[in-house]
Amino acid sequence: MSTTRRSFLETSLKSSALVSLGLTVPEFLHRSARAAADAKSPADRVIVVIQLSGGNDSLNTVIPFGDDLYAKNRTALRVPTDQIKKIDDYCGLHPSLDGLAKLLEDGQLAVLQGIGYPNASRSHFRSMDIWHTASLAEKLPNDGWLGRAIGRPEMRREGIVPALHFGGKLPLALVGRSTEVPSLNSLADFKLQPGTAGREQLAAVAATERTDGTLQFLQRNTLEAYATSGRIEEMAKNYNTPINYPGTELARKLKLIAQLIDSGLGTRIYYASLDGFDTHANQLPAHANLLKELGDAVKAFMDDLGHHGHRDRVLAMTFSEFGRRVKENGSRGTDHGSGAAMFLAGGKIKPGQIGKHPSLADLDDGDLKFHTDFRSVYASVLEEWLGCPSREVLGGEFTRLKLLA
Amino acid sequence: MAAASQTAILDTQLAAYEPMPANPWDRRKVAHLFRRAAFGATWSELDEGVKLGPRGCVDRIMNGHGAGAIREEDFTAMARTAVAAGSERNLQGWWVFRMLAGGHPLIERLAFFWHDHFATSQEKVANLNLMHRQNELFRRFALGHFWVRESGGLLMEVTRDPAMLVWLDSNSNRRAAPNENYAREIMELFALGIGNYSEKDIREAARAFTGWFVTKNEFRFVASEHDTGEKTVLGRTGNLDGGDVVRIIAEQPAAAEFIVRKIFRYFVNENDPPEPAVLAALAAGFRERDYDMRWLVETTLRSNLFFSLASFRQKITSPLDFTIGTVRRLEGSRVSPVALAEVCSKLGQTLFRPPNVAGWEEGRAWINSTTLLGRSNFAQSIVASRGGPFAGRIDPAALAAKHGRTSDSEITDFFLDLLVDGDVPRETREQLAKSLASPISGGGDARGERVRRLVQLVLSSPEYNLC
Repeated sequence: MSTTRRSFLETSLKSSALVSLGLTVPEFLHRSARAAADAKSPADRVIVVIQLSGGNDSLNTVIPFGDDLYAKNRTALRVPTDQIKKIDDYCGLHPSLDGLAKLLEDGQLAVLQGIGYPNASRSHFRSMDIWHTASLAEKLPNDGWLGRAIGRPEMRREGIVPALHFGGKLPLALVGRSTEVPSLNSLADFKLQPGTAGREQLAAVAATERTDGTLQFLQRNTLEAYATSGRIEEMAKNYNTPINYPGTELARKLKLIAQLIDSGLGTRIYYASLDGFDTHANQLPAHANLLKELGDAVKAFMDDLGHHGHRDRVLAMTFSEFGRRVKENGSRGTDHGSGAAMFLAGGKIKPGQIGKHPSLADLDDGDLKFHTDFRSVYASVLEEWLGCPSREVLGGEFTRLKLLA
Repeated sequence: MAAASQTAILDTQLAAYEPMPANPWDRRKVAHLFRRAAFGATWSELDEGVKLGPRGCVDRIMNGHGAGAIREEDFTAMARTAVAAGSERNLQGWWVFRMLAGGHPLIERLAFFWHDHFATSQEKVANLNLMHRQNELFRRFALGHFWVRESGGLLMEVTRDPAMLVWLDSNSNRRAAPNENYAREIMELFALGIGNYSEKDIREAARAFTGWFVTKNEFRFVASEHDTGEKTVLGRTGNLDGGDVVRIIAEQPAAAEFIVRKIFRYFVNENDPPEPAVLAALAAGFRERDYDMRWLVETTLRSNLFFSLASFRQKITSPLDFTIGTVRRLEGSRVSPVALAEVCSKLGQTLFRPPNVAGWEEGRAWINSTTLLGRSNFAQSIVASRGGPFAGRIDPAALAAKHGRTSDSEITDFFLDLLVDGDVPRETREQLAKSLASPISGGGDARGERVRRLVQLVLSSPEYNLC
């Protein structure tokens, strides 16, 4: 067991209770490698999914300013070329995505172009469900791709919370046939309520090793849970980060996720959403604010992870249920379309653009054409990043992209 | 399997347990029966159970203990009020209240078993009236017939149940474009299990169910949407309709075995499946009796297997059992069932909202850091004298005194016996005794607070998660 791990347990359990029983840190915890996280091992890698709900206008997110057709289709909504954060001489990021542009400069951001699926649905519900279930079937399955992934033996570790969602209703992506994924709003859900018995006394009741299999499973997990919550409480008090997170809801969630990653909880899948992308009217200011919330939060998150030495084992991924139509509508907004870019951020990704921006001349019924199936992205993330076989999770083989550096 | 060896199994492992000097009828066995078949026993119920003996005690479980504090019509009125108000919270609380205070805990447990088995969620049904009606169906058939040729039984009722019809998309199962949802799940999850049907059976069965619609909250057969062509399901060919398919499925040998396996897992052993001979004997008996759940459950609960070490405290307590069982054992009164249902939800079990059509996974899946902390926090709040939704509703020191336990050592033994069959490691018992003796800062009723803390610690022990 690493020194970090040992001191983590000793401080978080305030091990005097254990010592008073003549016990040392239990043997089984030696085998736990959670705190000694090692980016080389896929088992310690984490994915953070950020859902952009409502259908993000991809064309005003990754902007093909080098194509005259952009200005032609976007008159009221055109972002001036001189404000765009250029990736190359053809396209660039929306000015509000300053944070992401900086990550791109630092080699920590990939822009996946032209992601979609055939016969795109323009229904929020159907299309979101397609992204969540990774299925195009007439009747969609009632579980999600991440839910199926956490049911895989490669992803399961007893007693570890496999995935955490920050927000209200659990997204279908996280629904599986195995455990229920908890939805949290704050770290209070990880807190031992102050009672007359303290953590020390509680841990003492669970400290003696049990011999029976089921009971041993319970005893070890009880002790682990107290250790985890102790660590998280300490962390909440003392979490020192020089990083200034913005005061937005997404930033708050990502900060909590950064803290949990740092706490040694062992959870590998985190999920958070940013709502409001259904910009049918007066899109410019609303969309700019949303992109700013996204870019600044992700930037602070990656900086924070970097500060604590976790950047190389975390990958953040954005997606939205669809893009919007190339031509703006009559109320300075955009209607439901298809085809979109995704962002990947992390210390280990292959930075820069992956794939070409879809052509504005060759449209599919007024929409950008996709060239890469979103399930190729999932397959690559599952296989290359999480070390999880993708065929059964996704119901088929998908071409893998080279996402990692 | 030959009839003779089935009889032998029924005579041994499935024979009714009889007390023997080496394997006596005692409080631990009563507690086991009440943990699995009811929602935990009070101290007095443990005493009475020992006096009744195994036969009388299982009789009492099978028949219920008669009038609870609440009359049936009052329960009905409560549910109606919750449904009329559109309050899902109150409907969840209503069901928890039935489990907690109703006169027939086994019926509620089986109603839950069916809810888990035919897992239907308000998430999609979005109609409390239909969810409640389905719940009453499960209660009515709790100890009824899963299938019976003349009248159809539970499987036929569920197939025509409006909540189920909405849940599995019956209205989009049209002649021109069949929807396979129900056809698949009745075979995979409700009656046969994977390996006992083909994809073609599903497609053909879906055609037989076309036109089985739900309109205005009622089942309705729409002949114009029904496919009257020839279909072949599980080897039977003809112009089959939905009723034919339910019958063909139910009469497969795999159907009786499927239900027996699940009942065995639920009541006897969630870690290992029944031995083939046990499965065959139970399935044969179940079929012979028109899939009578009363026979199946009663035979199981009386059996040597049920009272064996393979079963005893080898199951992980579900959130419902954890919360309701605690309140029953500690004789809490005026504990808000709505608040209990909310705790269950936090611990991973939201009534009327199973995670998906396969129901809850149970077993070790209940346990992780967040749920264990949630259980520990419930242990704290349920015996707290102040703060939280349950403050002052349970007074452990008064409970011990009522049963004549007043000294520190009597109190420690009392709660360990009541809550964990007195079975914790020696060091843990010493630790608990020590904590009862150590003072509490903050004044108040110091002794009462110390007993509360003791009970909180016992409820937080690994042992208390065993059922």
